[in-house]
Amino acid sequence: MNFKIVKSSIIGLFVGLIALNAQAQNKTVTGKVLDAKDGSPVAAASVVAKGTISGAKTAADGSFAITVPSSVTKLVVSSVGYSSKEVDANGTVTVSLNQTSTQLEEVVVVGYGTRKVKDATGAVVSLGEKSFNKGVISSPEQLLQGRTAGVNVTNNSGEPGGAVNITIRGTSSVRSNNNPLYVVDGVPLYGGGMTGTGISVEGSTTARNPLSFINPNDIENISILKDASSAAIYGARGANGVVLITTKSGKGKPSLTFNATTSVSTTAKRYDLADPQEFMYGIKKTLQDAGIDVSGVGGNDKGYNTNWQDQVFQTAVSQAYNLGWGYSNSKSSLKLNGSFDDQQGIIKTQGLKRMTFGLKYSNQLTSKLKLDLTVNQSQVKNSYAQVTNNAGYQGSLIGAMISYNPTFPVYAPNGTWFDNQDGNRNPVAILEGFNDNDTYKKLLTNISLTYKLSENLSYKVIYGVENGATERLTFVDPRLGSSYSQGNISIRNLQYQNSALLGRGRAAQQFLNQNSALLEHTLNYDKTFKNGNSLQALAAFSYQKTTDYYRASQRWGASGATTMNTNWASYQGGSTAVYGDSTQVELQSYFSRVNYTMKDKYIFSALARIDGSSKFSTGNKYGTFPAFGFKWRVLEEGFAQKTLGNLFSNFDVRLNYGVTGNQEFPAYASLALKQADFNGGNPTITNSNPNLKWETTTTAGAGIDFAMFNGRLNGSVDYFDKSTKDLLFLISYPQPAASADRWVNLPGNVRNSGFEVSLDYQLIRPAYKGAFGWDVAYNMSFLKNNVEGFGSTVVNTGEVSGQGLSGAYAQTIRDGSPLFTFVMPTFLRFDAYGNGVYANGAKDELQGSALPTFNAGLTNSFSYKKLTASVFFNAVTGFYLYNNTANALLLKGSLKTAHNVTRDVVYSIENSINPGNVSTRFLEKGDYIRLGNASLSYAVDVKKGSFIKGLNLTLSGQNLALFTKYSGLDPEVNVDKSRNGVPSRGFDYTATPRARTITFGINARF
Amino acid sequence: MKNNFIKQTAIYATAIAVTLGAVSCSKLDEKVFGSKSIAAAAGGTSKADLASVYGALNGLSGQGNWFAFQEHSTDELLGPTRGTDWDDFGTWRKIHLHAVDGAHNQLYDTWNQLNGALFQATLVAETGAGAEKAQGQFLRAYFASQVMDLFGQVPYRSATAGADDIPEVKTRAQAFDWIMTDLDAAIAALPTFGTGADMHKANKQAAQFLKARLLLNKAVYKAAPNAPAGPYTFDAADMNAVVSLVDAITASGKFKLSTSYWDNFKWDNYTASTELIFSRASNGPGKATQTGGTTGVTWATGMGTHYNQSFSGWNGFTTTSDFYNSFEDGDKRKYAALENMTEKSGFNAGFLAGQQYKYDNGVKVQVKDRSGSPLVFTSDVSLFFSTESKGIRTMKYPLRADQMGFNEENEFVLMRYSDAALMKAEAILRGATATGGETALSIVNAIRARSGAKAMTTVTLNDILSERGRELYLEAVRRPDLIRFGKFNDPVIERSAKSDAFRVVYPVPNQAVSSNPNLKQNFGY
Repeated sequence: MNFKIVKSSIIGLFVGLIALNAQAQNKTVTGKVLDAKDGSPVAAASVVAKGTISGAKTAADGSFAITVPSSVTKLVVSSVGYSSKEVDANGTVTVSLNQTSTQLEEVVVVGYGTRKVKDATGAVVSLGEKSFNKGVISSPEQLLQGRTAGVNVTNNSGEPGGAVNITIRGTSSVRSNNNPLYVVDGVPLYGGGMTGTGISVEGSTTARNPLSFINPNDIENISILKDASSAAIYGARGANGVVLITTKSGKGKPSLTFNATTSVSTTAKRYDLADPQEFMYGIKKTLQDAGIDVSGVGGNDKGYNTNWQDQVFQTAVSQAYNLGWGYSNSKSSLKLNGSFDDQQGIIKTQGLKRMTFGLKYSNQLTSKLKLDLTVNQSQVKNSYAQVTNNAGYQGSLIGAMISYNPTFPVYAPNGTWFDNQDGNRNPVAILEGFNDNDTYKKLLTNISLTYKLSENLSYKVIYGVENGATERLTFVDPRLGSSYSQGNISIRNLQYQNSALLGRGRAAQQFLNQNSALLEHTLNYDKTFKNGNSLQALAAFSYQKTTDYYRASQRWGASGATTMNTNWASYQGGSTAVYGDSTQVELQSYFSRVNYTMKDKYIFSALARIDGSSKFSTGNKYGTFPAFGFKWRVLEEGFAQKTLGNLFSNFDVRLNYGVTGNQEFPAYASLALKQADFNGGNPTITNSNPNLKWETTTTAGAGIDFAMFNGRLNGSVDYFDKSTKDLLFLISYPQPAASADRWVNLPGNVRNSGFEVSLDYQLIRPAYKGAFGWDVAYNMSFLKNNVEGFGSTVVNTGEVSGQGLSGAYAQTIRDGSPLFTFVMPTFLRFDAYGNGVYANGAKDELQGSALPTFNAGLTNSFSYKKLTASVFFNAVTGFYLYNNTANALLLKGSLKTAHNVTRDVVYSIENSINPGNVSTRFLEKGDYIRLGNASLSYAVDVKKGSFIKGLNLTLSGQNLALFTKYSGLDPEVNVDKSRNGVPSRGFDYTATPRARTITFGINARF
Repeated sequence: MKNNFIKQTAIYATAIAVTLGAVSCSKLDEKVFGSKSIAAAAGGTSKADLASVYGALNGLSGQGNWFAFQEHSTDELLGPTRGTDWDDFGTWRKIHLHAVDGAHNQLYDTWNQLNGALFQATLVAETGAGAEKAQGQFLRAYFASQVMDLFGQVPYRSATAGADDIPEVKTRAQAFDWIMTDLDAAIAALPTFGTGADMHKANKQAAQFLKARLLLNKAVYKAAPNAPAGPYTFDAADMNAVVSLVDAITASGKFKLSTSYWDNFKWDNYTASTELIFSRASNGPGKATQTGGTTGVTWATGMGTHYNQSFSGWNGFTTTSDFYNSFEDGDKRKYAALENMTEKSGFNAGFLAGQQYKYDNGVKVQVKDRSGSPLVFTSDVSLFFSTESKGIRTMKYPLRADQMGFNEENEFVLMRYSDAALMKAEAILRGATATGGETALSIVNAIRARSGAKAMTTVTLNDILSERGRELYLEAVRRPDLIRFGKFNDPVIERSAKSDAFRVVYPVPNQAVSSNPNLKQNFGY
C-alpha cells in the first residue's frame, strides 16, 4: 500500500475539479421556512435542489438563499420534527412546514450513512446537544452518562480527565477491553493516545482518558449503535457497540458563537477521620488492649492539629471558552471552532488544560463532485498527583492523607516537610515532591471526495489520519528520600538497583507516538422506485494501518541534589535507562450493506463485513461478520389502523441479528517473539498460537417503537441476547516454555441479555409559545451477565493492595457466574477478643458481582417564557464494590503503628492484631441514586438588529446529591486492580474523590 | 434506459474494482520492530541463547518462590503474620504449615520460573554445539533437578516441538536418569573452573557437584511415587560415587575452605571466598559493570530487618528458636561482628537477636520500634499473631555498610565447597569408603574449627544433618536435607503436628495440571 500515491492523486483530482466548477450556469432562489402552526421561523432546515445533493440550511430567522443549476425545478425542504415539502425552485418562496407527530423523520447517523428513525431497523440512539450533560466535561462519554438505555458510563474516579468505563449492553469480553469503537466524522479512532501509566514510583498512576482531546463544545451529535445489526458494519470492532461522533458544521448565514463557563468544584464527601484527641485516645487504647507499655505513647503527639484533607484538597476553579464561526450556502459550508479549557482538580496538583482547533469544510465543487474536509487539532496538558491504583503499605497521596498523624505539623521549623520518612510519608511531601505532567497532542483529519456517478450511484473516497503524540515527564524531589528515588527497577532482565543513586531524586521521560492512516472507498446506490419502494446499497473497501512507538528513559539526580529539579536535561545522563517498543497493526476490510423498503412498511437490512487483521495467525486473518435487520411498521397495515391505531400513533416492530468481532488484544499474540534483553540475551519471550482466531459476538434482538397520545409519548422497548464465544484469553501454557502463558480462544461464552426501555413524554405541552412546558425522559435497562461453558477454568483477578495483602485477590471469572464475581470468605462478626469470625472455616465463597443489573436515568425538563430548566437523576443498582481503602488502611491495627483511621475504627471492637484479611467485611452493595445534573438557562432579550443575535445564561450543577448506603466516598468508582493482565471491576482504592461542581455559563451568538 | 443503466454501472464497477485492486494489496503480515524479532516457526524455538539461561539464575535469589519453598517449610525460616502486616493471603504461613495446595500463588510462579529456565536451557542443549551445548546441558540439569526436587515430576518440551505439542512428563525416577545423562555429558565437555568472568560459567566441578548432590539424594528421587517419604535405602555404590566426585572437585586444586565463614557471603565474597564452585555474579559499585545486573540477595535479608534499622527492611521473616539454639555460643556462624559493617551500620553477621543498634552520624544508638520503644528481637514468635519485634532475624549476606540497599555486590551462592565436603562426610557414614585420609569426623571438625565451634568427638548421621543446618542455613538445601534424613514431616516450632508423608513433594500447580493432560497431580494431593 502506498499512501503517498493515493494522496497525491486525490490532490490532483481536487485541483482539476475546482477548475471544472467555475463553468456551471446557475440561478439563485431565496425564501423563508416557517412553522405551519405558529408561523415561527424554522432554523437549520435543509433546502436541497431536488435530484442533486447540493443544498443549504436556513438561518435562525428561517431565511435561506440557495444557488442551484438553472436546470433545477424543485427544492426539497426538510427539518427535524417536520414533514418534508417540495416547492418550485423559482424566485422567492415561503415554505410552511407541518410538525410531524413523532420524531420519526429525524435522521440518525448509522455508520457509512444516515437513516431516518422510521427506517432504522437496528437499535440506534442519537443524542443531540440538548440532551447532553452540562458543566465541566473532559471527555465525550461524560456527555452521555445516564442519558440512554443500555449504555453504562462509569467515571473511574474524580480525577479531571480520568479514565471512563463505558459498556454498551453489558460486558462481553473477558480479557479484551470492553470499550466501544469511537468513530469521529467517519474515521474510526485508533483508541490509544496517552502513556499507559506513569513510571512506577510508589505504585503507578493510571492513564487519563484519551478521548479528552475532543472538544465537547464542538460535538453536534452522538449516535450509538447498540445492536449487532447496526454495529456489524464495523465488523471486528463492533462487538462492544459503536459510538459515532459528528462534529458541528456551519449552518445558515455567517455567525459567530461564543461560550464561556466558569466552574467551582469541591469534594462532594470527605473521609471522617479521627481528630488529634481521638487519634491519641485510639493509639493508647489499642496498645493497652494489646498489653503493650503505653508510657512512650505521648511521643506520638506533636501537639498540632493538621487537617490533612485540607492540605490535599482544594476548591477547584475551572474555565472553558469556545469560539465558533461558520456559515453555509448552497455550495459550501464552513465551521471553525477554537476552545480553551483549564480544569483544576480537587486535588491540588491535578489538572487538565486543553486547547482545540476544529475546521469542517464542505464544498459542492460541481454538481457531481463534493469535497469534505475535517481537521481537529488538540493539545491536552495533564498534570497528575501521586494517586495510584496499587500503592502498598507506604501508600500514595490519598493513603498518606488518611493515615498520617494529625498531630504533626505540615512543615518542620527548617522549612522542610515534617517527619517525612519512607515508611510514613508526609502527604504534603508527596504532593509537592512529585511533579508529573504530560502533553498530549492529537491531529485528527480527514479529506473525502464524493462523486455522483449517476442519479442513483455515488462514489466516495476518504483518507483519514490520526496522529497522537504524548510526552510525559515525571520528577521526584530528592528530599522525598530513598524509596521514591531508588533505582530498584527491572527492565528486560536488568535490575537497576543502585543505592548510590538513592536520595538524589529521579526523573522519567516517556514518549508515545501513535499514528493511524485510513483509506476507504465506498460506493453508494440509492433509488426510489416508481411504486415507492426504495433500495439503498453500499459496497466498500477499507484499509487502516496503525503504528505505535513508545520510548521511556529514567535518570537520577546529581550527587548531593537537594531541591526539586524539573529540568530533564540536567539529570544525570550517566544513569539513564532507555527502553522502548513499537507495534504495527493493519486492518483490511470489505463490506456491503443493502436496505430495502417495501410499501413503506417492510424494511429489510442486510450487511456483511469481512475484516482482516494482521494480529491473527496466517490462516485466520479474516473473519466474516454478517447482520440482518427487519422492521415492520404495523400501523401502515390497513387492518391495524382501526385496532392498534386507536391507541398508538406509531407502532413498529424490529427484529435484528448480527455477528460482530473483537480484536482488542495485543499485537503479535499469535507469534513467538524474541526480545534482546539488557542481560546480553535474546530469549524467546512469548509462545506462539498458529490457530488464534477472532472472538465473535452473536446478538439477536427484538424491539418495539411506539408513539401515543398524538405523539406526546414516544417510547421503545428492546430485548437482546448477546453471546460471545472464542474468548480471547491469555492462559497457562504447558511448561516448559518461553513464558507462562499464551493467547488462546477459550471454549465457553459470555452471555449478556437484557431489557431496555426508553420513554419521552411531553407531560405538559406548552399551550402557546412561552407557556409552561414539562417534558419527562426516562430510560432504564436490566442486564444479566453469565459465563457459560467455561469448564473448570478459573481465572482470579482483582488484586487487593495494602500491607499484609501481597498476593491477595478478590474476584473470579468462572463457569456459571457473572463476570467479575467476588470471591472471598464470608465475614460474620468480631468475637469477644475482637478477632474476625468467618463462616465455613473462612473458605473462599462466591459473592455478588461488580456488574450492575439495573441502570436508570430520569430527566425532567421545564420551559417557561425565557427560562428552561432540567433536572437529571441517575440510578445504578445490583452490584457490589470492594472497599480496598478500608481493607488496607481503616483497620484497628493501623492505630498501633500511629496511623490515623476514620472515627468508626477508633471506637470499633476490633483487636489490633486481627489481620485485615480479604473478606465480605469490606464487600458492600454499591446501589445509588445520584442527582447528576441540573441546569437553569435564561434567554436574554436581544434587540432586533442588534449585533448580538442571541444571549443565553446558564447555571448548572453536577453531582449535586448522592443517595447510597456505601460507606466509602462514592460508589461510582472503578480502580484498576487487574491481576496478571486480567481486568477487574468494582474496586475502590484511594481514588480521587468525586467533585461537586457548580458552573455558570454564557452563550452568545453574533 | 435500462440497458444504459446496466452499461453505466458496469463501467463504474470496473473502474472501482481497479481502484480497489490498486490498494488492496496488504497481506496483513505482522511486522516487528526494535529489540524484538519473530522466533523461528517450529514450536517458536530459535537459535539458542545462553545469556538468558544464566540470567534465569538471578530469579532464584529473591525472598520468595524457590527460596521460600526450600526454606519456609523447615525449621530455618517462617513468615509470621504481624497484625495488619504480613498476612499476605497466608502465602508464607501455608509453606511453614506444610499446607501448600495446588492453588498456592508462589507455587505457580515457581513452576513457571524453573520450567521457563529449563526451556531456555533446552534450546541451548539441543541446538547449540561444543562448549555452549555443554553449558546448556549443565544448566538444564540444574533447573530440571530443582523441578524434580520440588514437584516430583518434570515436563519436557524439545527445542523443535510444535506450538500445540503437549509436553511429555517424566516421572521423578525417569527425570533422575535423564538429568544424569546431561550431567555426564557436561562433565566430559566442560572446562575446569575458570577465573574472571568465567568464574560464573558452568564448569566441570559444578557439574560434578550437582551429580554428587543428586546421587546422595538418589534414594529419595527413586522412591515410589506413593511413598515419597521413604524409608530410603542408600546404595553404597552411589555413596562411593559421591566421594569420588567430591574428591575430583578437591583434586582440581581450585577450592578449599575459606579462612572465614563470612568470606563466602559478605559483600566482597567474589574475591574473598575460595569455596564458590558455582555462583551468580552481581553488579555493584565496587565492581566493574558486568552483564547480569544485580542478584536479589538483599531481599532475603531485608525480609527480616526492621523498618527502622539502617538497612531498612520489611520486618518479616524470622528463624525458629530451636534452630537458633542449635548453635553454640562462640560459633561465628551464629554471631560475628564484621569489620566495615558492624561498627558502621550496627548489624552483625549471622542472627540478629536482642537490642538492635544503628549509627546516627557516627554515634551508636538504639533502634526504636514504630511505637517508639527500643527494638529488641525476641526468640518467641507466633505464626498467626506476632507483634513487631518478635522473632530472631538473619543476616546471611552481609551488606557493605556504606551501600546498604539494592546494589549488593555479594555473589549469590549456588554451590559451595563446604557443602561438597559435608556431602563426602555423609556419604562415608552412609557406607562409602573413606578416601584421602579424611573421615567424616575430620571433615566436620575442620568445618567447625573454621567458625570457632568446639570439635566433636564422634559424628553420627544426625550430627551431619545438624551440622549441615548450621553450615548451610539459608542456602536452600534444608528441605532436601530433612527429607533425606526422614525428618521433614516432624513437628517444628509453629507447626506442632507431624505433617503427612506425601508433603515431601509439593503439589503441581492447578493451572499446570489443567494445561497439560500428561501432568497428574502428585500422590496425596
